[in-house]
Amino acid sequence: MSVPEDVLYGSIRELSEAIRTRKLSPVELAEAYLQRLEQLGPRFGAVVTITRERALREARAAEREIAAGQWRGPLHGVPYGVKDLLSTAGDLTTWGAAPYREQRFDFDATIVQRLTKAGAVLVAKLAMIELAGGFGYRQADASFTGPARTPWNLGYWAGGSSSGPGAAVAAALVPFAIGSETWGSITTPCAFSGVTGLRPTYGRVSRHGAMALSWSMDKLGPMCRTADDCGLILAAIAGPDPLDPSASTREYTYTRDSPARRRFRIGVLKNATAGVQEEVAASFEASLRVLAELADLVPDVELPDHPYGMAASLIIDAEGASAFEDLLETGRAALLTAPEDRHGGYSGTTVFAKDYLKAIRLRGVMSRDLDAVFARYDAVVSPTRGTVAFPIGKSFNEAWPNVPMPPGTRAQPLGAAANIAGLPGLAVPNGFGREGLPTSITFTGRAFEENLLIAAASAYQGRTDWHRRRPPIAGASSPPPQ
Amino acid sequence: MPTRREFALAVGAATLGACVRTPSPPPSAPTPTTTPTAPAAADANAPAVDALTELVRHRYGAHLSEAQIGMVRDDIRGGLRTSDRLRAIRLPNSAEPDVVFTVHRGGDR
Repeated sequence: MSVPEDVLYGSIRELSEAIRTRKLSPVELAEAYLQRLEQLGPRFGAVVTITRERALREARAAEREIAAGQWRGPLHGVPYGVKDLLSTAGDLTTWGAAPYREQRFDFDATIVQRLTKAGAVLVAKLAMIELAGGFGYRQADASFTGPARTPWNLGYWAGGSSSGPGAAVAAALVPFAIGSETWGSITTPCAFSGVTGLRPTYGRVSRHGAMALSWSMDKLGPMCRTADDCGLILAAIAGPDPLDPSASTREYTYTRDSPARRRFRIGVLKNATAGVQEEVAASFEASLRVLAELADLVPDVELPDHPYGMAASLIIDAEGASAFEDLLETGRAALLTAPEDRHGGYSGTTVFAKDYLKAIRLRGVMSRDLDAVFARYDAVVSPTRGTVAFPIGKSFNEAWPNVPMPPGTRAQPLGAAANIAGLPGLAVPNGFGREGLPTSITFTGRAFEENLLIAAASAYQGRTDWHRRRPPIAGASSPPPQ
Repeated sequence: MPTRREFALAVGAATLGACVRTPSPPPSAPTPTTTPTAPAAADANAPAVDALTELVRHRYGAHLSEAQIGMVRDDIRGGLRTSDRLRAIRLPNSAEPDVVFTVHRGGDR
């Protein structure tokens, strides 16, 4: 039997319940997503590799186990994709970059091992900006697979650098995906593609087996349909890992009702809508009206005055130049897709060690000062991006010429500060703007307080239906399994 | 993120935006102080920009065209402005880099 499209747009919570009660076959579900990936993936530039053989093997195993009463938990039998910077044994792992398009590893990244252990079914490796944007790309066409397109409007970018995960979740090619963020690479594609995503606290999730851009800033996290789903996924992937010294030993558990419910206390970033697109501001103001029903809103939250963006830039430039030293030394950077990426890594080789150390000394000060602010709130909210998605074929500077946003501030109001301090952030759709493109709000919180963000965002999603909206996809179908 | 280098170039002596304020740090925290960047900082960096660009040319020139080296030069200029801003912030000697070296002892893991 075919799986109805309504099911494919379901949340993990919904899919899981249907699988557990054997109303939905993991094999049929995997087959439906595989066919959708094959049919629609190229349209969105979302896919690098479809892992059909592995997917069906894992789905059959899940089906057998569940039939035998051995249900592993909410991800058992649920398909997913990963950004193509996570190693999976035997498959191509391209990092989105032409110099690595034939690269393979013989092991699964820790996060993939954990999802496998949870019974999830890997169906695809998803497109990404080359090197996760580490060499300073300035346009959507910065991957050897071409630009990924938001399913809401194919003339516009899906966001980056976790482009494929954004597009694939939005178009129901997968019910969830794993993305990565160094500075904005989960939250931006969530905003531009209209999906929900969590940037966990730095150290919450092991990066072993993931491409490194910036060891001290890289995070892995889920991109999916609901905040509740983020919790389900995070519970499967969080935890210490001897192969990643940054992975925290702090325990993480998630239930839909945790933490104990009370009225939230939510801060609103001061001047959060200054200079953003009018429609982005309108969506944000409407979100505040919804949040006021479930939270005490504290206006005008100010961040301590530090050069977050500059310190983050310097750290990423220096660490990126080291991480991709081989690419620079051999000149293979010339093979990258975006012209600006072919030279963009070289300036990072000139960062003085003393200046790098200054940046990471400052990060300690920033982290402590930010924690003092965030400790007062369950979350601080701001628009995820100052504009809707950028048009494909134009440089980012020319994308929305009438919205002169200094990057790092109004472009992503909390992006630099939250990322350099390793704070968690949860982006959820909150409306639509120009060209039928989605807008988004981000809940940012204190380190290791993901559950507060999930609870607040879930309460918001319980009162809105933006996360349930579907992009207009012509010709989409869910063919029967072969 | 996409426009990191443009960010570094753009900020110069600009503020980070209206959402930040001067903190009242707790007693244990160092007090960051910012020295205003001199208006002519970019010009003052010209010799350093030249020197570092030549370093890139020396090390990687075989892989880069003159036009690309020109763009690397722009990136270096922006990076030096960033460094200038960070260096202008004073930290006490006790403010450690936010990394911890872990001594390795085989077999412990």
